[in-house]
Amino acid sequence: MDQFSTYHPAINFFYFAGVILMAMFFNHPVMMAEALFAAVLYSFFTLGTEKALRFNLLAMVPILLIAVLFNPMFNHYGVHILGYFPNGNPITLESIIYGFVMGVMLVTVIIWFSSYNKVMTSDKFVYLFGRMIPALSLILSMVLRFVPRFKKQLEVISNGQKCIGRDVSSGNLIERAKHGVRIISIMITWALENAIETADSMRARGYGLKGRTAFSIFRFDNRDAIAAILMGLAFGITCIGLALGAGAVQYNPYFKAAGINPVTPLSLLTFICYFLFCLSPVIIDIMGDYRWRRLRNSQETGISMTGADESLRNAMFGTPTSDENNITDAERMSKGKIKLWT
Amino acid sequence: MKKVLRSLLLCLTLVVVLGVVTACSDPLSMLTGANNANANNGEVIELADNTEIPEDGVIKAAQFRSIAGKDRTVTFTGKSNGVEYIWSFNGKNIKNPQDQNLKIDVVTASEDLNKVKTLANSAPEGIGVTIKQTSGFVTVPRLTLKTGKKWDVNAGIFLKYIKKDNKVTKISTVTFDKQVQDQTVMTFNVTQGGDTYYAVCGKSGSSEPTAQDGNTTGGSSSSSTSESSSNGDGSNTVTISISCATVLNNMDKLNNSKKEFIPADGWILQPTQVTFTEGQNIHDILQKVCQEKGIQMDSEFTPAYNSAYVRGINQLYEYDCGDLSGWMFKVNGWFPNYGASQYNVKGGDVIDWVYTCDLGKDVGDNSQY
Amino acid sequence: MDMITVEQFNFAYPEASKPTISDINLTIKEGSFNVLCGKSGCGKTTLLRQFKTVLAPHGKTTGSIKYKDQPIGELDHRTQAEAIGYVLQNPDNQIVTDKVWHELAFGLESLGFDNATIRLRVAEMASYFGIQAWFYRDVAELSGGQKQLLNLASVMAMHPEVLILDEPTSQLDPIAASDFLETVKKINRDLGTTIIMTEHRLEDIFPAADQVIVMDAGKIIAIGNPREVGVRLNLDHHDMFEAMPAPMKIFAGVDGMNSESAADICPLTVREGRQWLTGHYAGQKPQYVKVSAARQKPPVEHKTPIITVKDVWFRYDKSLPDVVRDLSLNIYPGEIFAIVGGNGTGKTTTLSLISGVNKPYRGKINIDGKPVGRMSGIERFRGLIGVLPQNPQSLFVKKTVELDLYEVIGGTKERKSDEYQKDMPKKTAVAGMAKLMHIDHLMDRHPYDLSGGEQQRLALAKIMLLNPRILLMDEPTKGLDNHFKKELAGILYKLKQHGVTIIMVSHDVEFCADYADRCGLFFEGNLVTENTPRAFFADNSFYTTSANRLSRHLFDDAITADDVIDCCLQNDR
Repeated sequence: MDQFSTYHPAINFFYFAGVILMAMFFNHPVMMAEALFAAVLYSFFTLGTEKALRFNLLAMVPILLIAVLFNPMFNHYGVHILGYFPNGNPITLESIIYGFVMGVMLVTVIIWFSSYNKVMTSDKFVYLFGRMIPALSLILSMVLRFVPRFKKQLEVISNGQKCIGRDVSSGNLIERAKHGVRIISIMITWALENAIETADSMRARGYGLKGRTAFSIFRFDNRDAIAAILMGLAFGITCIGLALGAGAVQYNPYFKAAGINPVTPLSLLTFICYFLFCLSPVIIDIMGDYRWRRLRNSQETGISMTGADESLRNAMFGTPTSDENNITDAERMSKGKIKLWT
Repeated sequence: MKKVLRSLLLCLTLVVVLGVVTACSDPLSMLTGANNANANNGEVIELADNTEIPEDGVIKAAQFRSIAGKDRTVTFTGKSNGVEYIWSFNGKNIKNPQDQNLKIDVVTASEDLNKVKTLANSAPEGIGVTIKQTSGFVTVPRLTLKTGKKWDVNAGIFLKYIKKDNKVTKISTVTFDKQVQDQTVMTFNVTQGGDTYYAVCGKSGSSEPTAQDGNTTGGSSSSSTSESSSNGDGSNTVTISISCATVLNNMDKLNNSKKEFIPADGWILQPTQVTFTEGQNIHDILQKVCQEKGIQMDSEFTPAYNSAYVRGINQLYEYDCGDLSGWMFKVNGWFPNYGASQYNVKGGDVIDWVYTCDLGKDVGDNSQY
Repeated sequence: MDMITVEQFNFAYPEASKPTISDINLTIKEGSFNVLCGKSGCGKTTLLRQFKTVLAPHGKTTGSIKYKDQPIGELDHRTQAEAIGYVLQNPDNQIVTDKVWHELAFGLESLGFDNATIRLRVAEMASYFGIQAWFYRDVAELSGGQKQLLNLASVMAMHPEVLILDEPTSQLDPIAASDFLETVKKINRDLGTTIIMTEHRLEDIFPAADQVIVMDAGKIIAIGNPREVGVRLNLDHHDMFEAMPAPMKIFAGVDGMNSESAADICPLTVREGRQWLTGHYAGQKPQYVKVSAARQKPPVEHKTPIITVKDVWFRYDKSLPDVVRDLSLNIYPGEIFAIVGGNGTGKTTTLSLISGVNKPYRGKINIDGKPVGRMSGIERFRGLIGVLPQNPQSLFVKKTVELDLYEVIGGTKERKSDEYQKDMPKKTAVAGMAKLMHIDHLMDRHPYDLSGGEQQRLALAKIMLLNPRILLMDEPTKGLDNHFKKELAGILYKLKQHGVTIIMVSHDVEFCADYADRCGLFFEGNLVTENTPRAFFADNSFYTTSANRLSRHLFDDAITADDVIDCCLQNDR
């Protein structure tokens, strides 16, 4: 279970913005290795072991291979010539290395984004950006509501049309286009008409009154403050080190990287701080797991809160845990059914 | 499982598409369109063997198209300042017909002319021509001047005067029409325009005018006899050199990571003789010699120009020394207005690959200005 | 103090010649539970909307509506939003945001409360409703009943004094509906909120109502406590009496309910009805326990089945559990077969399997001996199967009813096409179908302007124009009032006469009892039992009509109110 996602959205966002930007702009080999390692490791926490393995091996490795193969085809700089293409351009070691570097960067950013998707849920996103403009939070929320709803309705309409013999997936192209247009026309009318009721419902509950606030279920507590300070520190030191040149690297026309040979204290400090920053969620998760285990061991004889109390507390003090914890296995099973039968 | 297969299939198609694209060409230029590949399309206006130069001096690209690629010589006549001049163009090396302004102003006397004569070993006679055509010539034309005077001369050189350095460099050798007795008729190759150039003459021996060869940077080489004929000297070798001397004057603009790839004397490849086979072009020669010598060379085929474009030699790439830097080449002192793959070499050609830091001006091509 | 007082109120739409509602005189007492009923189109919604100024339609009004002695038009927007809550009919359309917590907080956000207050109110409301487990869920995951409950909670979080509900359970299945109504009753009981509600299903709500208002053609025709209203309607022989709960109808049918004093002893609930019935026979067993022969329907002759379903298994995705398990079923030509059962048992999926939209991974489905899976879409849906979707709006394309009918047979041009192969001119076919479906007076209206029942009939007309021999209907009586249900039944019978086989999935036990030829009970993806309605419902103790539950201790096979009356009359002779 991923503890990091229970932290305040601002912390989550700062982390992801930080690592993704760093990964995109700095391609020093040590930094890239650290980032990739941290990204993959964290993906195991966010996606679950099986999914993470599948994603990383089946999707990321091919991308890496493609990058390694493609860069030498387009770029021919480099002092180590390994051979020549049929058109006479040289195949250079440097271009292969840089292809690999680009591949690693791409893969790292993709993995970060997949974790981002899991951690930054829609309500966190709405909260962060809705804070700036309260109206924006409502609009975002509504968009997130309507998109799946319209998708579902499109399916319903499509099925309805199928049952009077107008199937979008059969017939020649013109027929299918006509059916498609008809379905969209029905869809739009339906959407507009039913939106009137939605508008009524909104107005009935006072929408349009002045002084609208935005409710947030996130509270910035001490835990978040500590995380912010520590992560900020690590990030700050990294930035300073990079500004002083600890991350300098050159791939064209030959490979040269600062801070590797010799290892300077500045570069060592920068790399360590960067590694710590990238690993922050993993550290938080591991610490969380450890704490749970200790608590459980010492709580064998303790009294636990009742479900209702616990949820009231959660609601009131805003320390949400992920959905997964709140539903039982039976509910989880029937979740599939709920999706089907409404 | 289906999802994974689908994404793999997508990756594979991407690979195939990219591969096809790479193997052929530079994809971007396919988008920018063929604005230059008009050599063989577009209107053609037949040229008579001799044409009088019109008032504005411009002979149209359509007219040159009629002789492009053909081994046919046409002439254009004009008159300036009492001097009749005749341009002579052979179509063999015209691959990219453009409009050419053949109007010249003949300078019979000026302060610069005197300076030039002095610099050229104090040559006794000289005449200047201000050539209006700035953006390069479609081939190397010959210019004949009927001076109207009878000079006692039998040797001459055609010079470029670099005012700021107060020196002269040789462009080509002047030959004289011995059959004409009543006046001096001189002919020489013109490789560039847009400036005032001087033909200085004297008698061979004591008053023979000499000047540094402006064709090859840094070193000296004999002006090849191939300049007078467009068919080569019959041999199966050409001379090729690669120089980045201009970078030495612009080290402040040079990309830091490339510093160690600039030789101290500017020569990446000293003038070297290379054998060639019939049908090989300048790009082929460059590629061959670089591979033999282990010099890194990066070029890409550009369909818009129907030619390879050399991006970098010896890790020195375009834009590495400022926004106006890049590789250019000249043949026998002339910068063709088309790509290296389009010039089929002939025996005796002198090919110079030069790195410019200001769009060609510093290597003697002011066609971009 | 009276919550709302309406005096001599009339309302007319801007272009209308006569008022939509007229001569309304009404008092809503504080803390009372009021039920407003009447046929579709009688003006109930128009009247309710007058109580909520932001929703009130534009038009001419005369008379007054006062909220706590203050004219309702003079209430400021804020008070009006906070004090008067309004819940609409369609659960989906009312929800604005994508998360449950956001929806709960929506009204409070609009009112400008600070975070702490919102948090408190939302927590309170969620706990009271028992929905705290869904707090972080996506709205899209909730069922219809859960969504409507969410809407109610969202409105209640604003602490309104009056709660107005406009047919809130019409789109819900019976279980969800009864849960919802229980919650509304709870709110009235525990919090003293004044309730004004319209409903078609009066069985559940009548016993709890303090005041019932019956409207017809824009006027109030009966007002008073439930029993008084029942007596009044019966004395006036008004057809709204048909909508009354079964116990009341039985009482009227047996006892006559001929005087006002009958209002004191008229039974409202099944329990009261049972007690009254036992009392009526003074604790003895009556002599005749079966319904008279005249009421018994002739058994259906079992010819060759037109649809055979054999050993069918189906699931939506490999990783999901089976939805239809080992189902075998035969449908005979010309019968009306009703499939009943709880939510999520596989009824709708079975319909989609029969129509060929989904394909089973095991088992066979044959229509007329041919496997459904092998038929093309055209073969199946032109002239063989017609499917009436749950939401009729998903079929409407054009802007008038007439054009929409023409649209399904390929447009107004008189020529044969893929869709229309008959020799009859299209005009005749369309006019004939419109007459059959009782929508011939609506030809110029926009489909979306029709009432629920009318929309359904239009959708049915469109389907039937393609001449299917088998009609599949999913919840055809959802949201229909009694009157429309009867009309629909009439149409179905006419279709049956034309040889159409009808399969319908329904939660409406009463409708199936009245009109089906055979009923089947679905449970866990399988048909557990099927029989004629009489035998079917008489066998069940719980899943049966209220008339049956009321009388099963005395009569063997009475399943409708009329059956019970018939049995009683037999014995009384």
